[in-house]
Formats: sequence, structure tokens, C-alpha cells
Amino acid sequence: MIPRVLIKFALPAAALAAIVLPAQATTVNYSTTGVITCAGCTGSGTDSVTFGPLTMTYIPIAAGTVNANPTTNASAGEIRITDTSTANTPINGTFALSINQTAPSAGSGPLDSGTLTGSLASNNSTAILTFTDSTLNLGGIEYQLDSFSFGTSYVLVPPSSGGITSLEMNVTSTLPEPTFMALTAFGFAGMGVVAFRRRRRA
Amino acid sequence: MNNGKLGGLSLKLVVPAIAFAMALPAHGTMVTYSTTGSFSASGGGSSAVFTLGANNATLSFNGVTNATVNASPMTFASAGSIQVQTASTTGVPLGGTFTLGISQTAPSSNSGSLLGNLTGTVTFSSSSGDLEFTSTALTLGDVTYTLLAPGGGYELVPPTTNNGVTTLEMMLAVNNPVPEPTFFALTGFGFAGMGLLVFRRFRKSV
Repeated sequence: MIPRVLIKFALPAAALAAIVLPAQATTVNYSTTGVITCAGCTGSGTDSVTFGPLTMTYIPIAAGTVNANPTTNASAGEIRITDTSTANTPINGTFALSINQTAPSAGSGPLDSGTLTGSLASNNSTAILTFTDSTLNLGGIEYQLDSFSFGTSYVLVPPSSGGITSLEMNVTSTLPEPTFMALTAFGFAGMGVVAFRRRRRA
Repeated sequence: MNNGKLGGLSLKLVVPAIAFAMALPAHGTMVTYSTTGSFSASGGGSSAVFTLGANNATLSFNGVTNATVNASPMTFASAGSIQVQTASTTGVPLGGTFTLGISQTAPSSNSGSLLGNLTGTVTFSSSSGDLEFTSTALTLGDVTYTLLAPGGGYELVPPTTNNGVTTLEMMLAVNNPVPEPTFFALTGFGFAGMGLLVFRRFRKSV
């Protein structure tokens, strides 16, 4: 009885699930926002602030799409510096980075908060952005900043060498694969059929 | 007599000299450099195509040209960026080496390179691409360039985020800082003042 059920139902179902179902592709749609808060600057509380001759701007990811299967590198945006002076300008403040996710489920939250320290000039930088290295889970999708320059810090480069620092992160899916869910469902269905037939015969 | 003379001298010469020296612009060791990149997969070009069957992915290095930074005693700087371009939905494996060339024209003319290994795969929307350097420090004259590569290497992002661009950061440090012009100016004025005093004393004694 059980072998016949396996042959007639479970095995073809398993084969069908394994062959027909596509390889898992957890498509993640997200965007980022950043807020710089600082004392002694103008524009505090926005994504672009000015310290005297220096302007620091966060360029967010407006519409990122990645396949987190199970993990992928992704960008969390860029920080751009412009400065018209060769004199060093000290910077201080915080930078709050948030994620807004629209797929596979909708959700948003703060990813990490960084501290700005050091100084910048048009041709010199000792400025770093140090994060706490925390993670954010939105409906089974986990975000974590990565690719730090050292420790948990990103360094900011001066305008004379480009002035752009990209922030990288890892996006990881902890959602179960469709194949797993299909096989599990077929297994339970098969067991149900067997139990039902046994009870009817009894 | 000497006190009077010295006081006058201070007012007439030393104080303006110090003011002049203070007015000199802040100065460090200006380093001018450029970077180039070459992929072994392309036979040494700055752009390489990786293939898997009919799928392919292109990696391009965008270097820094004649960047001038004040590296005294140190500064962060860019070494360039790498862009991933592909429309493939199948993971295209990366491989081979990437050589980062640094050409310095000031304060001295030197050049050298650092070698990295490419690993991982990329699709248009996912990437495990990684660039890890076997050595991260290069000294050219009195300037040491240190790549600030993360522990696992630079992580390359897919084209669907930030247009596939990953920046490479480094640190420049001067090993034997050149004395600043302010130092030379003050020292020069000091010796000139001493010379003047000696000359006046010598003339009076004659």
C-alpha cells in the first residue's frame, strides 16, 4: 500500500517539484535613506550638511533590486564630499541609515547609526564614519553593512581624489525556498491520503 | 645697550618675521598620483569580460588621474573604482588576478603595483564578487600607500545597485615628512637676526 502511494503520488510530486519549480530567487526591492545630524553645521537632520567650506552629501539608493539567494553584496549608497578649502575642517555628528523594503514584503527600519569624526580639506582627509555593525531584518530579509575599511569604519576620501565613498552591505534571505515548501506540502498530503485510506478500510 | 638694541631688533625684525611666517599657507607633503588597473582575464586591459556559456559579465576599472593630496602626516584617498556590468541571470564566475598600478609624480617619481585575486560570481542582480589583495601596502619614495581593504576583500556590488560601482579606498602616509616652509622661514629669520647682532657687536668693538 505505502509503496504504491509513493509510486503513484509522492515520487511524481517530488520529481515535479524538483524539475518544474524554478531555482529560488528571492527578489528584494529596497531603497535607502540617510540623515546626518551635526552641531555647528547647516542642514542638520537632512542628507546634506555643510561645515563651512565643506559639504557632505549622502546619495541614497532610490530603487535597488537584488536577488538574495541566499546572500548578495549590495550598495547602501554613497557619501560625497566637496570642499573649497585646503584648510582642515573638523567634522562631528551622526549618520543614521535606514532601509525601506517593498518586496518580498513591505517594511522599513533603521539599519545602522554611524559616528562622524576627523577632519576634511579639499586635498586631505582623516575623516571616518564608524558604525555599530548592527543588522536589520525585514520579513526574513537581513541587511548588514559590510566591506568596512577597517574595524567597523568607512573612510571618507577628499575631493581631490574623487570625494566619493561607497557603502556596501550584505542582503541575506532567511526565507525557506519554494521547493522546500512544495515538497513539505506534498509529503503531508501523501501522509494524509495514506491515513485516510487506512481509516476507510478499517 | 644690548637690551635696548635687542628690544628694537625684536620689534623691527623678529616680530614681523614671525607674523610673516604665520601667514604662510599651511603646508604638507603634496603627493600627486594616478592609478591604473589591469585584469589578467583580459590580458592586461582595464576592462575584462568573464563568460559562462552564452552569458558574460564585464568588469571595468576606473582609475584616479593626477590626484593631488596632502599626505602629511597622512590622508585617506581613492584608489579608483570597479564597475560590474552584466545582464546575465546566471552566475558568471570571476577569476584571475587584478593588478592595481600606482604612478606617483610628486614628491618623487615612482611607480609600483599591488596584486589582487578575483573570486565569486555575478549576475545582473546578485553578486558574491570579491577582490582580495595579497599585499595591501606599497612604498614609493617616502610615501606609503595602504589599501584599506576589508578583511574579506573589496565586495563588488551588482549592476542593480549603485550601477554596480564599488569604490576602493586607501591611506597615504609620509614616512619622512619634509619640513614645512614655516619651519624654514623661522629658522632663516632666526639665523639672520643672530648674524645681524654679531655683525653690530663686531662693528662697535672695532
